[in-house]
Amino acid sequence: MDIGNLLSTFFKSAGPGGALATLVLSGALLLYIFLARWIIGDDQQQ
Amino acid sequence: MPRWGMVIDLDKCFACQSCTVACRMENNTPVAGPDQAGKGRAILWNEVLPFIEGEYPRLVATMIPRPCMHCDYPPCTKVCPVRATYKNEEGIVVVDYNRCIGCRMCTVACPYGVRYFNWFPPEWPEELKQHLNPDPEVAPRPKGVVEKCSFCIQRLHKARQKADAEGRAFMATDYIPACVQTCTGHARYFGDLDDPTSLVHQLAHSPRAFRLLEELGTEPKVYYLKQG
Amino acid sequence: MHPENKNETVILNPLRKVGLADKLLWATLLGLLLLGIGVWIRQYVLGLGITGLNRPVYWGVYLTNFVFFIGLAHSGTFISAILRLAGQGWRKPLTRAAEAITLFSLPFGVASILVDMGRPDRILNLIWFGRYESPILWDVTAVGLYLLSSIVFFYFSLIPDIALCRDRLTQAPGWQRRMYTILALGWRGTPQQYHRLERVLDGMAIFMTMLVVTVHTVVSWLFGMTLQPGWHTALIGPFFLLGAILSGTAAVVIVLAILRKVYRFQHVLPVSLFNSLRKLLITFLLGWLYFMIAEHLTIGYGNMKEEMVVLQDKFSGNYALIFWSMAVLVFGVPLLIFLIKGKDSIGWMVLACVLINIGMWMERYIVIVPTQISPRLLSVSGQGIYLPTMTEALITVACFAGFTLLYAVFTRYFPIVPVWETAESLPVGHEAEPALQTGSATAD
Ligand code: SF4
Ligand code: SF4
Repeated sequence: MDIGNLLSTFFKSAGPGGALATLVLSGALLLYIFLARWIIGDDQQQ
Repeated sequence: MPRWGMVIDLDKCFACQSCTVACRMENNTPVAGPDQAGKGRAILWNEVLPFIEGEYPRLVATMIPRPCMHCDYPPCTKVCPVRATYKNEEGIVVVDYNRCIGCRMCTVACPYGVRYFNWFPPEWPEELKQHLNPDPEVAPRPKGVVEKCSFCIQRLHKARQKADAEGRAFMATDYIPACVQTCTGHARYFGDLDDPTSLVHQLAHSPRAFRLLEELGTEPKVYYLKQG
Repeated sequence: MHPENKNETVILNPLRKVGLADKLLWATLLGLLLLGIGVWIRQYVLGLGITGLNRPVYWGVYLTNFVFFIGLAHSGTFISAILRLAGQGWRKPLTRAAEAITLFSLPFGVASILVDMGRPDRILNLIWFGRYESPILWDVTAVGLYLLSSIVFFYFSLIPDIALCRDRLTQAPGWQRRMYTILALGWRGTPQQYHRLERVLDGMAIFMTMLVVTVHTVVSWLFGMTLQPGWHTALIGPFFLLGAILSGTAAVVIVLAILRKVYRFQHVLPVSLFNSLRKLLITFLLGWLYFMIAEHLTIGYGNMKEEMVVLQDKFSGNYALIFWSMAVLVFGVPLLIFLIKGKDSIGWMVLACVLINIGMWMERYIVIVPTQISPRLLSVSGQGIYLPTMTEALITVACFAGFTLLYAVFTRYFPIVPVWETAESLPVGHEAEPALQTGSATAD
């Protein structure tokens, strides 16, 4: 498999960029929601 | 696959600007009017640029007709965020008016200043409106998108269809852009640069041939033949 | 459980009553904002031709505003993330005020781009057809992530104080109390919660610091990645970044001074804070001068034809007036003020910081416009012209009004000085985190 070709296709074609941007942003959102829940936490068990 | 290119002989060009007019009629570019044109809002896919050196009476004027260079490494398509402008397999750089978001990044990235933005919805005086080119491929562009010279790609499509209908193979000579067809001084040549037997190939390799801003590495496909 | 803070009453005071003066201010700002939105709608209907933009100046005031507001936004992250990592304890009282600048200026940076677009209705094309070869996608990702992360970073550090409002402001109207209850997420202020919160904030501070560098660098790359003279330089990224931190920090000074005066925070925001910021600002100013010289000397010494066209335009041509007054406003006068008058004098500091910010706006403008005025092939037939119109002016005013409005309203509903971070002690059992121990006041 030609990695160089794959990379250049990723950068040049329409679509993958938008998908990755969405993925990054929604991933961050999920992480932040998780963090918020973790901070508030449930300290009863401790 | 042909690699379309153009050669303009500056010795033959006498700056009559027929190419500019032919382009307007073929491609339905809107009329900006003197007021807007004065503000730099005129849309001229093809423009004849005056380069004037020295002062009267020792003055050297070079008139350079400037279509899109259809660069082999176009800086304009690189920066488009949505691939609304791209170089097709035959080397022609086109714009997808239905996709362009009007960010104008391509217009600032093109070193030749050949890309135009639709500042207003397109307009024509009543008399001109009746003579618009009916080809749907050059239907007037909406406001807010970018447009530019396409080497009259609609003519390429039509030439292919015609060849198909006549049951013969399409030949490079079947297709010429409107400016080349009109040129009063026969200064413009058009054809397949990759075909060693073609006239454009030979002219592009003439010692008189040069290209604009060659040092930028954009590899334009429009060649000029030096005057004098 | 809530932290003990002797200034709690003072800090919560602005939240107790929204006065007539506030309402008048808000109404005026809202009016300006709505006017701007109206003008934008008109521009959308008629076309971008009603601006001063043209060929060859395709990018003008809107892009300037974009760069400026994103730059302003760097204040908060700088103060609260970078200084947090550096263990600078004196930053604590002003973290939230600074972060709020970030939070409220970013949306107007983003809005400036929308306003600039020919087809804002096709914005989703960026998602359906986005491609990473274009610097615009870099910007979408970086600025989007930055906006999201700074909202979260801001919100996390606000939670304990929202809980405080929920429990203390029992006189507030029902909707306001409900808002506090919902936003506090059931925060109880246990030592464990504080501990986890600190850990997350420390972790995020590292991430935010990287993000802040990335964001302004890719903003500059919108210009730097093209081949145009004046833009195509590797220094443009660091230069934009430093300018951003300079104008952001200056904005913090202005905001702090206003808060201090209007909400009577003299004890909470002592003069020593301003003195610390003054030292930072002097450093940034000198850094700015260094970049300025490095950039222009390299171009001028090299004497390449196309670059010189732009450079001469700035130094002695049509843009000389803006260029040199920019240099005086950003650098000359403020440095003199800081060195001679600035110490212990808030009034002088504010003056210098206002000048810096006016100058930084001009600096953005002078980077963006002159390069386009003389494009390579067109300059032979004379220069382009660019004069912004009323449309651009009103939308710019609206952006500033909107920013101020959000800020003003926020300070009336949430404590603008963090109560828990400036507390003498957090709930028992909580081990004071490193930042609290090392961060004793270093200000003179
Ligand atoms: S001349 Fe300009 S618009 Fe044409 S292909 Fe080259 S960069 Fe693109
Ligand atoms: S203006 Fe249109 S064609 Fe040009 S870069 Fe933006 S989206 Fe692409």
